Amino acid sequence: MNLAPDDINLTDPCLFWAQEPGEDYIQNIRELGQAEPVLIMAGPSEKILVAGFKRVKALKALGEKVLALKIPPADSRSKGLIYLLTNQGQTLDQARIISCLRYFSGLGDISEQIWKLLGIDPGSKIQGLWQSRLSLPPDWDRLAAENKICLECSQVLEHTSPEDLDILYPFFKELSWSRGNSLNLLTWLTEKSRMDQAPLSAYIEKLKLEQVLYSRLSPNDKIKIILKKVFQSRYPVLSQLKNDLAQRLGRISRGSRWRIEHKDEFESQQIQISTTINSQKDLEKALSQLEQISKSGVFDDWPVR
Amino acid sequence: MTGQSDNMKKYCSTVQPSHMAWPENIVVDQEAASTPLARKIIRKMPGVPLHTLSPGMNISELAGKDNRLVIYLKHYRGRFLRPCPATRKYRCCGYQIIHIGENCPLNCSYCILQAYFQDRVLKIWANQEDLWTELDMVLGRDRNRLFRVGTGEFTDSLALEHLTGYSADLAQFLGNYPNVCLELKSKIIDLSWMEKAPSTRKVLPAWSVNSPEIISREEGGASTLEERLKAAGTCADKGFRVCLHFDPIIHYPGWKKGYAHAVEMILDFLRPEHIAYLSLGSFRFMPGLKKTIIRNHPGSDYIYNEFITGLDGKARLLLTLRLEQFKYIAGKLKKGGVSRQIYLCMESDRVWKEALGYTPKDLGGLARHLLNLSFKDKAGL
Ligand code: SF4
Repeated sequence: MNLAPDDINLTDPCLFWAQEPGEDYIQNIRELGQAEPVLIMAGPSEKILVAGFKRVKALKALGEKVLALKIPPADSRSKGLIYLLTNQGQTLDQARIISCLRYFSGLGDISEQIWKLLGIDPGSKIQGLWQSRLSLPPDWDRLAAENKICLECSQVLEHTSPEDLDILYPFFKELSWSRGNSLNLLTWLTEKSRMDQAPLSAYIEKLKLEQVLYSRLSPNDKIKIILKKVFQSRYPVLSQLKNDLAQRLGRISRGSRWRIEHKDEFESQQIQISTTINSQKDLEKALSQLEQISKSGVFDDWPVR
Repeated sequence: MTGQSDNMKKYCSTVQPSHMAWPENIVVDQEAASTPLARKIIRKMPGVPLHTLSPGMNISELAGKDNRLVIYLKHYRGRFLRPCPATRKYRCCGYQIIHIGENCPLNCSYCILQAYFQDRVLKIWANQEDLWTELDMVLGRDRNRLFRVGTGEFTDSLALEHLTGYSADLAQFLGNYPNVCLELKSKIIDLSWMEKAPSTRKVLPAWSVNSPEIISREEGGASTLEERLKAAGTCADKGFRVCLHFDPIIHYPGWKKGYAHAVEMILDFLRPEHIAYLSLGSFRFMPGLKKTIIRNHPGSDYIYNEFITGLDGKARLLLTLRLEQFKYIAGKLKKGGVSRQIYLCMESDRVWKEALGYTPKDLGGLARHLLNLSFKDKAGL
């Protein structure tokens, strides 16, 4: 059947990946016409679109009628499934997966079939992560869609109170965290709050993290400072030791071309000393500096005796 | 306990100890069904449904997925005797482990077994004849070579003793090997093995000890410190020397008071000469265990301590913090007269020196030192 675009209801929630057509798409339809009918379901007083949102919008923009196929009435679950099956070729990014999962979880349980259609093995670790993501409020979906928060973070946040989530939200909205940094931030904060049985917001306030977030520093500096503060709070003794050692090693190697590092978290006294040599002169200079370092008593004052 | 279990209890001919619920099923490998051990265990629980596992069948097909407590009498085909897993980076004690089964009915929050076994199937190696053969081959080869052996790498040595009598059998069997000393390490009380122990010098009853708070909070189903030490005192009265293991030492608010109390209690129940040796081991774990502990024991917040990754890849408490604990506990013990019996579990020479004032080298090597202590006559200490 041929329908006027305005006669079709485009608002059914089953169209969870509905997307406006771009110029290229409209151009294709203009040149090639509508190759496939859209699917509609006749409601009591209107025709409800179940698949083909982009096509309807493109045809409307071109002032064309829509070729539609009428399917028998179905419940919301079946409508969603039809939509998902007819959109199987879509790239499954975080935003698409979560909007599909939200739709079906709103109807009750998500069946194995849905998980499989989304390329997620039921019972797998990744399914667990998506289930954690579903436990977060829907406004966090936007952060995920913008790749501002990784999937693993959802698991860390799973048991966080709504109040604490509200306080955390701007940190992810305003800043772009790498996967490692976001996981560290959330893990340290949640662990500290569990250990002290205090809300996470108490730490954010105590550490004045919001002041850093809304300061005029560059985003990178903000991230660095926030992480440092949270690490110091989560690992006070370790960070004190690291600070002491960094100062000591810095003092010893200051002005020299040697870089001194310790990588064993104080389990050993091992240090690594390295430099780059370009010439005989460099080499001689480096050796004399190394001698100075060896006389400095680097091990005498080791932070953990 | 379920109604079904209550029924079973009526039929069972064994007094069930408090650390273990009644099993819902017994599963036996067909090959092991007629072994004396399997027959003994089955006889002790006549009311418990028995299933035989044909060759090729997997226990999971019979144990069910509903997390039932199952006793599995297995025909074990692996090596029974293994060296204690050590690493090159930290000092190890040269202990050999006799593998008698897997999984444990107790529920310690820090237990590594949670990472290995997700079910409640308690496996017992029923083909004891094979065990005796292997032990004879290794331990009997050179009777001048001394061995310290123990059970319980993958289970508590005595948690199933009321059913198996395994430790008693071992004590009896090893009575013929003057070069072997058997350590029985547990968190529960079962002294039934004593009757079969050929001599007080061949068996070292051992208990894990901890602060009373850690025992009550983190060692589900285990005996209290007082019960353990009372049992240790009984052993000492009978002429045995005992071993104690402060492991895992946990860093928690109030740990000083807790561990001081534990040391006081030890010294109330035992004299220093009753203690063959005593180990101190800080909590260390495979990094993957952390998630399991958080999931299974959400109240166990010691898991959020300042742990770092050690040189062996395991998580361990930051050196300054564990050194403080070692020094404190060792100091209290030394004051009470326990000194050269103290050793550290999986620590570097640097930590030894700092915490105890000596290194394994000063003792002639840890493995040798512990052998000497194990085989030393009580009067000689
Ligand atoms: S007694 Fe030992 S084996 Fe049993 S649960 Fe506790 S730590 Fe694990």
